[in-house]
Amino acid sequence: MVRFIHTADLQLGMGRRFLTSEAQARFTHARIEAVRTLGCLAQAEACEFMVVGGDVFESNQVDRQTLVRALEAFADVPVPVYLLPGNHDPLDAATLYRSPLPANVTVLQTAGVHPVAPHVELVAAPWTSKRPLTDLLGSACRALPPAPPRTVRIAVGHGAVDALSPDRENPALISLAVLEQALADGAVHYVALGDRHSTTSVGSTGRVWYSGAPEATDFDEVDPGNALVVDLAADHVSVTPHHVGRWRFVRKAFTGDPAAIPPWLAGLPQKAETIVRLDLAGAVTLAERARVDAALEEAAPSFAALDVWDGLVVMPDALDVSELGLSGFAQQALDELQAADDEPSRDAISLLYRLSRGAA
Amino acid sequence: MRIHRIRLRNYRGVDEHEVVFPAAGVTVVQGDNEVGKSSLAEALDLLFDYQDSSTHKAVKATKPVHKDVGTEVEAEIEAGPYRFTYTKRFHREKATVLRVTAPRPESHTGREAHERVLAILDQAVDMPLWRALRLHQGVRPDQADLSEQTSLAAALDTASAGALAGDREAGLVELAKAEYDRFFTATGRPNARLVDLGKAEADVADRADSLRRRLADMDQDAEHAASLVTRIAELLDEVDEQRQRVADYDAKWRAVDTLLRDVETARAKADAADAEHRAALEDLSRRQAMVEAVERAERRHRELAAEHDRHRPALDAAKADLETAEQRLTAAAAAAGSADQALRDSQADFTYARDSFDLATMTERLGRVLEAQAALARLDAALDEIRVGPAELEAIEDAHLAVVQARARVEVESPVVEVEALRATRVRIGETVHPLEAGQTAAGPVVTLVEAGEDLARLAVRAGREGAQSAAALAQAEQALAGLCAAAGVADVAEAKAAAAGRRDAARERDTLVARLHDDLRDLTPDRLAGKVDRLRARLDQVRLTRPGPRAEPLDFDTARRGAEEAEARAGGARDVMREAEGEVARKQQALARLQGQAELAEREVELARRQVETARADLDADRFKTPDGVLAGRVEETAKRLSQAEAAAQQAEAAADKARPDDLRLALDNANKVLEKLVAEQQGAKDTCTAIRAKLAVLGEQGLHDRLAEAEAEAEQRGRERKAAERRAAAAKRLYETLGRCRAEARQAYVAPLQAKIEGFGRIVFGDDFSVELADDLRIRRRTTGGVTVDFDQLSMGAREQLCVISRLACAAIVAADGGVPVILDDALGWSDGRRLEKLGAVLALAAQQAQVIVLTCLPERYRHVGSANVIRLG
Repeated sequence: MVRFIHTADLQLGMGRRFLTSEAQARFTHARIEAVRTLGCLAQAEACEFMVVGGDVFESNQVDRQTLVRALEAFADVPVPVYLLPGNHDPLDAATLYRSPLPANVTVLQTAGVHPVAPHVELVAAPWTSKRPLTDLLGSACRALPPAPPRTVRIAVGHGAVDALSPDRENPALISLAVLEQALADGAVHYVALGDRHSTTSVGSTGRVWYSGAPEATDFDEVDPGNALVVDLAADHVSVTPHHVGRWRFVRKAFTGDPAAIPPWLAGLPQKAETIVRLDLAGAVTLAERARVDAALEEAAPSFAALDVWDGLVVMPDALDVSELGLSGFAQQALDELQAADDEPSRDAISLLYRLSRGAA
Repeated sequence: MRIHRIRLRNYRGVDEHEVVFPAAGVTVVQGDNEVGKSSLAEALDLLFDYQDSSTHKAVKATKPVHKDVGTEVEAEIEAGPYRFTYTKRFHREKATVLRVTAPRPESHTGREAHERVLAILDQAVDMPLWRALRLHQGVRPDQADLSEQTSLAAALDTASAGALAGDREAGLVELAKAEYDRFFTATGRPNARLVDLGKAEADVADRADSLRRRLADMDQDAEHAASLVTRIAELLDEVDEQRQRVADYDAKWRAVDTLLRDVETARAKADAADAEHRAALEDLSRRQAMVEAVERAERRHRELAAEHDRHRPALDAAKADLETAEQRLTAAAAAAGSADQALRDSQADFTYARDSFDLATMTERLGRVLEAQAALARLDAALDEIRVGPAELEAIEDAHLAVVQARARVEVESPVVEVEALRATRVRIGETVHPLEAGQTAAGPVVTLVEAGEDLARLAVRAGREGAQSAAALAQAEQALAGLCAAAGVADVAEAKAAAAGRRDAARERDTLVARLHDDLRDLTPDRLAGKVDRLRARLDQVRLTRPGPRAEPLDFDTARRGAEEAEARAGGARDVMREAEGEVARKQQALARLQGQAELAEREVELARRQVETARADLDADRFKTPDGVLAGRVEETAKRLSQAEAAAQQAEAAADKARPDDLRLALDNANKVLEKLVAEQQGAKDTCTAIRAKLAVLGEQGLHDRLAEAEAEAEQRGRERKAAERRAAAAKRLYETLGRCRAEARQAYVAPLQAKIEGFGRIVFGDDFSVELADDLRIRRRTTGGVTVDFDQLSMGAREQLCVISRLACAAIVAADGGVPVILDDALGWSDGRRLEKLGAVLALAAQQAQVIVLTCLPERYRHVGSANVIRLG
């Protein structure tokens, strides 16, 4: 029985364009700190080593500062760390894995079996280019003789699995059938996958897993922020997800209920590490529009990012108009703007509302 | 507002005035300039605007000059529902009293009264309009009118609250304008801020694109490197394979190489034998050549000697020819000498004949000259004798005429003495003695003396004084004539005439002689002509003396000339013969010289050929001594044999080598080597490229392009948002500002329409039915049209402008009359308008007064006598 940490898709150095430079700096820092968190987890859970299933770095061209800090974080991990080059950081001519690495860190540079400890072997399928033309992991596992007695083998790969991916044209798609065959043959006992940022068990064996990214990277991820602690033997497997991520991507749509927005925003925890996208739609009155604007303006600084996709349509009601209390030509102008019903006119009405309150 | 009554007391120069305004119609307040009618309007301002305690200069100015009393103003006014009497006293015993009678009685004093009136006016009266509608007579009425026009516009703008909305709406327009100005320039284009936002976004997007491209390039490089690595692995095998191929060809080539070397050796031997054989042949042919050379030299020597001998007879013949020619020349020279002598003689003859002819001619000329000279001398002597020239003749004739005239006068003037001889006697009358017979009479002029008979009597008749003078004149004339005749050597006039004619004939003859003399002398003098004759004669004598031998005298000049010409021809012919002989001699000399030269040359050549024969013979002998002829022939035979053997061996070796196809093998080996080189080069190139790409990527990898791209993309996103937000705000501001502006302009236009209609209604009364105006947004009259002619307001005459100002005020007053209205006060206006217009304006005033209170202050009431409904109040 061996216990190790399975993680992947750290995407160190990832930039998000909707972040301000301040938030971006914290976001980058948080991803590096996730490495230390994983180190703590390894110690706490008495893991023997850590396997990272690809996309350790966001790119081979990450900033030198990011690289140096990341390597220092890995050096702080109290167990050996095995890094697999993925599609974001392939082992090509531009690879950043030529840099001197900490003693406890090993890059799985060649495809095939790597003994890492007594009775523990890794079967690696590193990416050597951004567009491989074959199923790398399948190639490594196909026709692999069964593991020696009392030895557990962990296949480490990166990429989409055919069972989950609809992209049949991709030649690098990993064949689940091959993996399950290798599992059945006893050639491997666990398949540690990277690429999918949501924690996912693939197939029915319970031995093929995507660990998911330890820090979220986008709004569309289902269950990010986890790392897996795996207990493995030839005849036993148990996989325990541990939540390690601190950042959250939250997306929320509001349609025609502007009053609900402020309380919902206020209720979000850890705002400084939360990236919010609001999809606003529906008709609102001038007064509501003004309240929404004020609420968003007030809330924005709390969040790492507050991205508003504003589809609200302003429909002034009688109350708005009476509140404006316009007469003569100004009322005439308001009537015309309402009749026009296009974006500049609606904005003009809001502006008129704002100006008239200022002018009152 | 309606003013019912105004009372002034101690107001500037006015002690007390009270004016009660009738309830309807136009009120004309008439008074002289100083009676204070303008004070009526001014006093209302004083009353409304200043507290009784005010020390404003407008207030101070109302104080009477010579009285220390308070100035009092009281007005009874109706404003909206209010009717009140308002009294203020300034300067002394200051007081303010307000008595309101409607809608319900009120009473206030002091400051409270002031405040209350302001409140009532504010509530019920449009005060700016009230001020605007007053028309003051200024120093320059037109200027005052125009400036008032501006405040009219302002007043009307505010007065139109119903249509144009209020201050708040006007403020909104200002705010919208301010918002619009944040994004747009004065000309309505996006301003620098908006443009810069777009530029900033584009810049960042460009930066991101550039970084993206560089990253894509790096990816491409990485892929290229990967493909190179694969290729390098392949090349390892290919190079090994090729090396083996090269080694195989090389072994085969070494075997062929031995055969080729054998061929080379055999061929070298054959070449050596060939060279020896050639040398032997050459030696033999050289010997033969030497023998031939000796023979050639001998032959040449013989030929040249024979040639030399052939020259001699020709030389001798040439010498003989020369001698003959020389003899012929001598004879020709002698003939030419005698011909020349004959020529000289005949020329001398010709000269002699010519000289003889000349001598005869000249001798004849000289004779004629001498004869003419003698005749001239004779004539000159004769001419010297005759002293009557043309001038002398003229003088004598004139003097004769004077005598005749004097005589005639004496005869006329002198009394005539007629003496009758009683007997024969002699009577002398004057100088004339008349012998008389008895009975005869003698008559004569009485001059001096009449004597009758010698002894008989002497009668002295004295002429009168005139007669004496005439006689004296006659005597003087006769004396002058006698003097002239004596000088000319003649007796009287007739003789003088004859002498003058003789002199003329002699002169003519002389001229003829002189001409003839000139003909004979031509350019010579007689002496030189004589000299010439002498010289010719001497020369001829000389010829005669010196001529040798007897010789017939040439007959004449022509014969002599012909002889000379013939002699010359003969001498010419002799000279030609001689020259020909000379030429012949020269030619023969040349021919001889040429032959002599040739002979010498041939002699030298013969000698040379002889020496060459000797040399050639010596060389041949020496060579034969060294190698006899037999030895040479044997050597040729021997070397020929050796050559044929060596050639056979060489051909055998070549045949063996050809069988191994060395060319094909060589090509294959070279090709294999080249392929190998190419593969190695490719391998090295791939490695180098790979290393270069790695190095480049390593360097680029240090630049953190990914992070920079992420940063640029984030910034681009931010900039994009800012730009979109700004554009959206700009669009909103533009929409709002433009919509508000347009609606306000439309509202204003809606307000302008009724005012325009009113102005035009009044105006047609004054200017005619085709009168119309165009109003600006600020309600000013911009243009006026009458009779189809449109003129800018500023271009109108002073009178027309003044009339329009009045009309527009009345129109305003009429329009707002329904809302309570304000009075229109015209203070001495219409000073620029003529009587006809005044009449029509009067009608307008009357019409307007039906709706609004119209008060006219004037010192010239006749201006307003056409106002039918006028109530005239006289001041002072």
